[in-house]
Amino acid sequence: MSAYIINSKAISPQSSFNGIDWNCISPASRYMSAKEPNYKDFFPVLKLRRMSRIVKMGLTSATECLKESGIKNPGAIITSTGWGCLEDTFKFLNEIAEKKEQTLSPATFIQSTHNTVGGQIALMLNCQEYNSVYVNHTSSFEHGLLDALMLLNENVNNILIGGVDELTQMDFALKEKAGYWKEDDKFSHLPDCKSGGTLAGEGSVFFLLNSKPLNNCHSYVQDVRIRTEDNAKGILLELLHDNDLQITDIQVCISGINGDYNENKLYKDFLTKNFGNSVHCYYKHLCGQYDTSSAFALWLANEIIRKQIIPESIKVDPKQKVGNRIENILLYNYSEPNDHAFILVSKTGI
Amino acid sequence: MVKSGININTNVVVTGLGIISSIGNNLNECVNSLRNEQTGIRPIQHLNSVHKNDFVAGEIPLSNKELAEYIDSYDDLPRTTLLALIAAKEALESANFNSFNSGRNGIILGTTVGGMDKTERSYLKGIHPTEYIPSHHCGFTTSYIGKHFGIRYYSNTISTACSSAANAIMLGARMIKNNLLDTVLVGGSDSLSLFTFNGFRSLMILDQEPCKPFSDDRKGLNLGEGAAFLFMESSESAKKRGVKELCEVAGYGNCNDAFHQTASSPDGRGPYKAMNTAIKISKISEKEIDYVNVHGTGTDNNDLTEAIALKNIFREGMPDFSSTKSFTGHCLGAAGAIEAVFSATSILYNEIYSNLRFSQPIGNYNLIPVTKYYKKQVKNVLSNSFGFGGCDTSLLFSKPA
Repeated sequence: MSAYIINSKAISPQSSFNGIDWNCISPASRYMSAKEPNYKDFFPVLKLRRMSRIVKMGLTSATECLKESGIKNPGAIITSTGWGCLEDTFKFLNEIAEKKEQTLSPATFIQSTHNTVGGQIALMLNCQEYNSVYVNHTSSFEHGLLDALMLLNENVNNILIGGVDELTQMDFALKEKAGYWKEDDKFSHLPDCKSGGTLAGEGSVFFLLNSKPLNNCHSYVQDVRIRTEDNAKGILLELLHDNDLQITDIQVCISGINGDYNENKLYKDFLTKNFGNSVHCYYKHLCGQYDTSSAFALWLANEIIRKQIIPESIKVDPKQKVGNRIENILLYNYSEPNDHAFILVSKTGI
Repeated sequence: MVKSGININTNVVVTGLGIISSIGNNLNECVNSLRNEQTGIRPIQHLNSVHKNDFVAGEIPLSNKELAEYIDSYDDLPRTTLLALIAAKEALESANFNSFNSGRNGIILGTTVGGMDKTERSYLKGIHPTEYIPSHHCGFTTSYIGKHFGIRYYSNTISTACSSAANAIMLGARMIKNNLLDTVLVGGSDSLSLFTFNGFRSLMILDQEPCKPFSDDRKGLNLGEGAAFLFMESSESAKKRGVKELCEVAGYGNCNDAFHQTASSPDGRGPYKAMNTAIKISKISEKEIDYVNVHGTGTDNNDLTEAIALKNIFREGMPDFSSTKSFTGHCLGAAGAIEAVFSATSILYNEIYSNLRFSQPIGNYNLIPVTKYYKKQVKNVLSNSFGFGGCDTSLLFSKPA
């Protein structure tokens, strides 16, 4: 089963909402907040006042993605988020602590559930169809994508699917204490970092998937694999075999290289051993690290296939050149404690 | 990979059950409490809230330390994880399954609070600690259970509020039908937490007394906690392994009410569509449904709109129904799995559980739940789980062919 990408919409730390200009890339930093569109262009102020930032990002990217696709009613809404509505969750926890469990705000609690964004999208679109929310570490988005492939196989069509996570000052500070982030912004080429820690990021990326290549569709998700077993090579070989592909058919491999020395090494070892001929790309210097950042990676793959150009700034080794056509891109995302996730994106035949 | 043209008509059967709730630490204890009409809704003992004396809850009468001892684990794990360990172990043992080294085996968990109780333990001390971070994530319990039992092939977590576990069961069934998994452990786990307790309290939908689902004088819900798992595989796989098929997952429907973030639509359109879809997929007539384990939280809004949706589905032929939340309280992300287990035992033992504390039917709907446990032939059971964000899921379980 293939899932054709009919449209996509990305809110990210780059100016990506209306398409990205590769000559104007915002520099990487350890706190990468999203460049949000002017939400007043999309929703009445009164409604906006009641929305948290993650809801605004999620709703805007999802509804605009749908609107531009020309499809009126999605057949399913799938949302993925790692940490959910962080802002409201910790706001409510703080309220419990500060007010000693007295006179708490129900609105904060209501907006704290992991399915807030998914529910709000359904509400906004008046969409009564299938609605699910995946919250499984860094593979949350891939799990959603696998569900989308199954739905298409079950004759549900026009699936609105996305990944959304928000970065908050507070969460950043707490995770900083735990050593999650780089100590400062003094790093150059992320894949060559010798220090530990990564860059904090956020974003919301939505896609409209169809079982057929409608409109100006350029690429499709051919396969998704998520495994908890520690056998990345085996999973890769199985994926290639099942899709009648050789390793040499993969022109580009986009990995989750995130600047952390140990994780970089893991990715680089795997890529060099298995993808001698593919161009290795990375993206976390564009969006930072967040649990559903592979949705941004899929958005990037779709851009590369559409334009048939790999921006120099995303190459692990800028000297690497790609051949004539970019037909297949493999996204590889690994993270502790347990997840290896692959997404195979291919160029449409038309 | 997802292959088109495969036979998605594979029969998915349940071959193992595991549960811990306020009415028992295992399946037998829970079923005996249901039969003897012993509620688990009691004064709060362990949840360390300033309001604990003003409310009752379906709290499991064991401390984290006692739970850890019970399952031979660590008491610094989140309570949600400890509960899940206990239920998962029982489900795997009852399915007689231990061959995780071969085949495509998965685990899918539904949860809403994840490791919140541990977050609270450290966070509410006033200092901002970091040890809560890994276990706060909803995916933590799933990964932990998967590692603990050696389920390495597939591991996933769903959070759709109070329908989380029902959606985990539905996804597991679909993955087997799509030939992506051979076996799957599906379920839910949620512990009580200050976060959810204060959240529901702030919404003013908690009854301070034991709840009265589907009764005209209902005043709200009681929170509960627990975990439950179902071990599922294809009927073919169960036959090959020579294990008993306890029931079949005959239908499922996931729909969104798309009306309000927390309230149900006045006509119960989401619940209606969820039930209708589950019934349609199963190809069973609604007349053949013997029992409905209703969502029945005991809130004004849920029970009224669910009653309307039930009337629209069953018209004058309303089958037996009850809310077992009158025993367990509302276990949020675990509720769908706990009630799926009770739906399975209803089929397995041919019995209907009662809806405690019912006095008068709601309005003019004349919907009277079963108020006394009794035995009868049960072939098909519908189980409802509706949640915040309009996430409504119904599951239909049937006696194996």
